[in-house]
This record gives sequence, C-alpha cells and structure tokens, in this order.
Amino acid sequence: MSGLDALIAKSIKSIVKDNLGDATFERIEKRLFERHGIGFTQAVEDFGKLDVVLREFFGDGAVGIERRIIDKIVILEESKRNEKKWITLEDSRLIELMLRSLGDDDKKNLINSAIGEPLIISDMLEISKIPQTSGYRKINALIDDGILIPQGYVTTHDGKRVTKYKAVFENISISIEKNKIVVKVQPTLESIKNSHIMQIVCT
Amino acid sequence: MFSFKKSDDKPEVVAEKLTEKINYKIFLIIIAGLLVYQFYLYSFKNPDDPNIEIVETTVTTITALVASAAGFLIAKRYWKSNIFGMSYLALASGMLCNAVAERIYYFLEQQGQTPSPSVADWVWLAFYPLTFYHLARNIKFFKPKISTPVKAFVILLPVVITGVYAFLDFGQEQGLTTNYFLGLAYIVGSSVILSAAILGAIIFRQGTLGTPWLILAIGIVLTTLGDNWYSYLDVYNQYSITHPLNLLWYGGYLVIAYALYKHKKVL
Repeated sequence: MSGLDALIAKSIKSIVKDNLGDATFERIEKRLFERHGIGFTQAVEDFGKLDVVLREFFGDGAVGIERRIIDKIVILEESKRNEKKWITLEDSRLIELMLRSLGDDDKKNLINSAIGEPLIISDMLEISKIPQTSGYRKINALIDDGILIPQGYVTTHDGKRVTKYKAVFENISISIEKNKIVVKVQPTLESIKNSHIMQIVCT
Repeated sequence: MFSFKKSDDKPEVVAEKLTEKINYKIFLIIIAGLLVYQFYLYSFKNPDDPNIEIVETTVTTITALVASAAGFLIAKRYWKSNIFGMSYLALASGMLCNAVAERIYYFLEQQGQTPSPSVADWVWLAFYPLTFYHLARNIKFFKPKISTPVKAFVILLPVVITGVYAFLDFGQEQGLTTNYFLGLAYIVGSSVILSAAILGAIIFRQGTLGTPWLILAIGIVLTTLGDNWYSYLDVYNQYSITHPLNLLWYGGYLVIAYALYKHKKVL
C-alpha cells in the first residue's frame, strides 16, 4: 500500500460510517469481500475495486462520495511550477497523528533522517542516535501510520535483501490560523504517483 | 461413515454485478387495492353519507402513516449518520405531517370550522420542505457532475408546472387571494420535489440504489399529479370526496413506502 494511501485509509472508514451509517458500511464491506475477497482497508490500496463496488451501490453517486470523502481528508494545492504539490490535512485524526509523530523527539529524528534519500532501518537508528529496542518500535509505528514508506532494497554481504525506507513527504508546515492548527505536507512525487487516492484528488 | 450428498446443491455463485429489480406485483396489488376501495366508495348510494368522509380520512391517514412508519424505520437503521439518518428522518416527518394534517382537516370540518385555509394547510405544506430536505441532502452528498441539459430540465420542470397553474388559476380566482397563493404553494412544493426526485433517480440509476430512488420518484410523481389535479379541480369547483384523484395520493404514499422498503433491502 502506498504510504499516502495508508495515511488516508485511517480516516475513510469512519467517514463512510459517519455519513452513511454502520449498516451501509457493512454492506459495502460484505460486497467487497464477496466480489474481490478483500476488506475495506485493503480496498483503499486498490481503490479501483472500491470504486467498482461503490458504483454498484450508488451508480454515478459514487463519484460524489469519493470526492467528498477525500475532500474531508485532504485538500490539494497546486504549486505554480506544478511539480511540488502541497496537501492540507483536513481530517482531525490525520492532523493528530502527524502532530503526535512530530511531537515525539525520537520519531521526529527518524523522520528527518529519512527525508530525501531512502535508508535501511539500522542506518536510520544510527543517524538518529536512538537505541535499537525502542527505535524499532517507533519505526514500525511510523511504517504502520504510513509516514515511512518502503523504497528499494540493499543486499547485505550474506545475500539478504533489506528494505530501505523513506519519509512520505519532503516538507511539512504547521501553522495556526484563526485558532485552527493547519498542517500541510509536501509529499514526494513517487508517493503521489503510487497513490490511487491521490490520482482521484488530482483529477 | 461417509455420506455422499446426491443433491442439486450448486456452489453459491457471487453475482458479477449487483442488481435490484422492481417487483411489479407490488404495484399490481396497490392498484387492485385502490380500485377495490374506489368501487367500495361508489357503492354508497348517498354521496353525502358522512361515513364516506370517515372512510376517506381514515384511508388517507393510514396510507400516509404506513409511509411515515417505513421512513422512521429507515431513519432508525441509519440513526446518527449525517446523510441517511437525517434525510430519512425528514422524509418520515414529512409523511407524518400529511397524516396529521388530514386529521386536523377532518377535526375542523366536524367542528363546523373552515378547514381550508387553516392550520391544516400549514401542516400539509410542511411535507414539501421536509421531503425537499431529504432529496437535496442526498443529491448534494452524492452529486456528481450534472450535465447542462439535466440542470435545465430540473429548473424548467417546476417553472413550467407552476407557470401553467398560476396562469389558469389567476383567471378563475378573484385576484390575488389567500386561496390563490395557497394553491400556488402546493403546486410550487410538489413540482420542486418532483424535479429533485427525478434528478436523484438519474444520479443513482446505474447502481442498486437507483431502484428505490426510481420508485420514490414514481411515488412523488403520483402525489404531484394528485396535487396538480386537485388544484385544477378546486379552481373549477369540481372536486368531490369520492373523486378518483384521491387514489393518486394513496397510491403515492404506498409507493413511497415500497421505495423505503427497497432502500432497506439494497443497503
């Protein structure tokens, strides 16, 4: 799953439930399992399948629901050069997740180390000067939250392939506007390209 | 030890595409029931028999309550959800308004007071904004891009219906009276919800939710036809309590109840 999709998937489930009710969510999830053998969270990875099922239920209304769900989570801002895109996080859970990750010194250092070039976990721990036990736990949490994404491998001297990780964004901006915390992230181009959800946002 | 199942049990095949068909038998049952009722009314030898009014007001109240109860059940199913929960609560409340208004009208008539214009009309009119809220909330949430011809149709339909009525009624009424504006309010309300219901049916038509929305649109078409027909008959003083136009309202309410049942079945 694309890191960006994992980040966004956390909110989609609750947004569907909040707007259309638990019963509707269960019907959609049941149909996803029947037709594609996947759950709702997995369907976010393969957004095309989620789209097919939503269309089965709502017809053209699926387009509206998808856009609305995404608009509640993120707002895409086009830059003048059209290369770097800033995304404003709208969903409070996403904002909280991001602030909690950056509020933790160890996690912040790990994220900083992984911005730009992808690194293997041991290198990230070494650069960030974090003990291995707690370091692995925190890195796993960042991977689960979609803030660190796998990108490429290195082969060790004994032939094992070790995954390299990179931060999902290149820049982050946190500001307070009219008593509201505004978090904007600038995702890497690869994460936008690999995100099914961002493809819908961008169209 | 071992039992071989020699049966016709076939493995369950998952449907390639979900479909939801309209059960036309339900429509036939509704039509048959309404025809039986109408012939029953005709069986009264005296058209001024007070029992006719009791029967008529009871049937109107019950059919509206059936639709209202179906709406409340759906609202309960999606309770606390922003779109379905609230919108179906509004639709159910709108149908309840029809039932309550009918009782108020009957009560005022029995008391020898003028039943219309009266508070009963305000309660009847409340059906339109509540139903419009239901339709608009769903359409706004699911709204895909609406093509210009569809937009034009949705705007022109209520304008044409209202315009024709306003023109015909203005010639009959003694100027801009309360009755004129009241009649106009019913026409505006019913034509606007008709237009929104058709738009909803267009949006959902390729999904399974399209079936309940199509049925809902049919139900609203029937009530709109009833409202329009009643308004024209009222203008020319040709309405009577046994007039078959009442069947359009009863049928409309029952079809709306069927649409709500279908919604529950689909989602």
